[in-house]
Amino acid sequence: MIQVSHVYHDYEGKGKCAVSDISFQVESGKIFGFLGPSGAGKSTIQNIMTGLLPLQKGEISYEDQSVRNLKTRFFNQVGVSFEQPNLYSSLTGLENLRYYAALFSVPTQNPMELLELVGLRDDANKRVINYSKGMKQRLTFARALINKPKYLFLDEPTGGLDPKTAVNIRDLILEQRKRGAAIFLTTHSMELADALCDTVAFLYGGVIAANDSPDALKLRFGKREIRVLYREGDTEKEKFFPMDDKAGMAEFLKTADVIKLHSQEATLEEIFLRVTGKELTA
Amino acid sequence: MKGILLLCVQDFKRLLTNALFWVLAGTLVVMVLVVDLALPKKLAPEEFGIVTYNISQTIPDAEVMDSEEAVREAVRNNDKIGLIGGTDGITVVHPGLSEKTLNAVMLMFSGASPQTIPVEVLNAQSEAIPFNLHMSPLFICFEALLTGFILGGALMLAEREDGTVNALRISPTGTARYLISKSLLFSVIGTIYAALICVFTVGFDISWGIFVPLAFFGTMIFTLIGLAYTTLFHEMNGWFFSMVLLLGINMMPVISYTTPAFSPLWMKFIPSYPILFAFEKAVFGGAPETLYTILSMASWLIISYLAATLMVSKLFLKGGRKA
Repeated sequence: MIQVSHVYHDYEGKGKCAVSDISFQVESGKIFGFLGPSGAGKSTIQNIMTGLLPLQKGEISYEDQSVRNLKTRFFNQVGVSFEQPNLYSSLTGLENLRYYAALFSVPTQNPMELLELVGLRDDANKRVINYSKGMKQRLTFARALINKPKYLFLDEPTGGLDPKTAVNIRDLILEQRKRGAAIFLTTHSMELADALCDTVAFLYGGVIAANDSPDALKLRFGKREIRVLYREGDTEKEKFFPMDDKAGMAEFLKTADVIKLHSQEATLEEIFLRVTGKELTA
Repeated sequence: MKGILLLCVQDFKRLLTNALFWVLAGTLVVMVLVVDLALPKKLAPEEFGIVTYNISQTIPDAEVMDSEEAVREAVRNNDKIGLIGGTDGITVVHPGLSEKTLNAVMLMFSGASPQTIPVEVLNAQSEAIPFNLHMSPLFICFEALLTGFILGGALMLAEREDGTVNALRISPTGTARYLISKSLLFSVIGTIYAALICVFTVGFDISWGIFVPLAFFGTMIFTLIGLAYTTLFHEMNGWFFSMVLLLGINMMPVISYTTPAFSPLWMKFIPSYPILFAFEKAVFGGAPETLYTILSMASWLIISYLAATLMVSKLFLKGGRKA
């Protein structure tokens, strides 16, 4: 489990924090979604968690081991898929994975099998400089899995991917959860977060505006009513019933020519707008 | 160890696509061609005829002129040495010769009779070294130096420019592993380059037992210095020009090599100094300064490793973690 407690970070040391009082936990076998617009502080938190930025205030611990005292060998358990693919462009996809695998002192996955998983097997021997953005993104994702990480950090893992490949990557992320990895997912995509995350946190202006499971958030911020679409003569009409007005709705359904029934559940996007007053844009 | 070798192999593949690697390979060929074809085997001695006016002694092959002005004209236009007799003795007129040549002329002129001067040669082999081959250790030393100094830094800078350094930072690779894999690769390449220049210029008949470790550890020292220095830079332009400046300093021992009389103490603290002269001994034989060479190189190896460890750890692979 990763425990983040009351973390602050001030880049310039002038008292203006990029993130303030950030607390959450990422459990093993769970996916934690960190949602927020650009500049909200998502990358700052991820960089502090992975040791790329120093922890100034607060505490971050991996199974009670502080991020301040992490030894090099700890990183045998960490996988990071960066938003901006950072690969050796003069090497092939296969060579990139082999190079990275050589950095670990734990057993690593077969690079070719990983390339197969992300749909790059046929391009394994092509130099990365000739890869498309989506291919680089997939290779970066594959690299993050090479050491079967216990802690997996994914920054926009489906960004720039076509829908079919994005679904493939989603399935792979779910496999990592099934394997028991604690996954920290940073994304703008509410759809992705809704489909994958066990818990989501909305980050806005450097603070967490809401933090709960998607279902709980929907329950809390949704309208809790049923929308009934029905036909009256030649026209389609709609009527709303509160969730607890079961009798009234049952009475209406007996006589109405019903076309559709919808629960008026809020989307994460709508909840984000309601919580922060701002739309979630990339 | 397997991991380090794998890193070496992948770094070598990266190197094959790096323009600087091919520039250095081309430099190797140019150096061989310069030694074999461009440099003379023997430097032309200073040869000057003598013209005289108004002197009583007879000098073999000297041309007697009919005026002082004719002597000066001959010196000015035909690179002669003029001897003009006068009431105060003899005046030497020359076009700007070395003191050594002038002394030889004066010795010959003042000698009462020709006689054979006994000569004892202490280092017969070095006496016979052709000029072009004598320059070979210079090229060998500086090709190995360039390989470690430039290529190691170039790969490191590329890692910073394309962002792969961030992937390294969140990997379990330590500074020691990073430095060892890079310095091992370049030491092997530097040794191969040095051996190639040696084989194609001097040949196979050298002390390989000294030459190989010398090239290997010499390149390693400069790889580590290059890696440490490169951590101060984020882009290629500033790095390259300052590297050229550092290379210039490291090439100063060339002065002592070509002019042995000039070997001040401070020059001996430049890391390339002991390496250059040890290469000369390894290639041409002669009494090696074994203890001085070993102590100097061991000291530089330790200093460069410590400096590289500190700087690469703090400025390149830094993170909120312990080594």
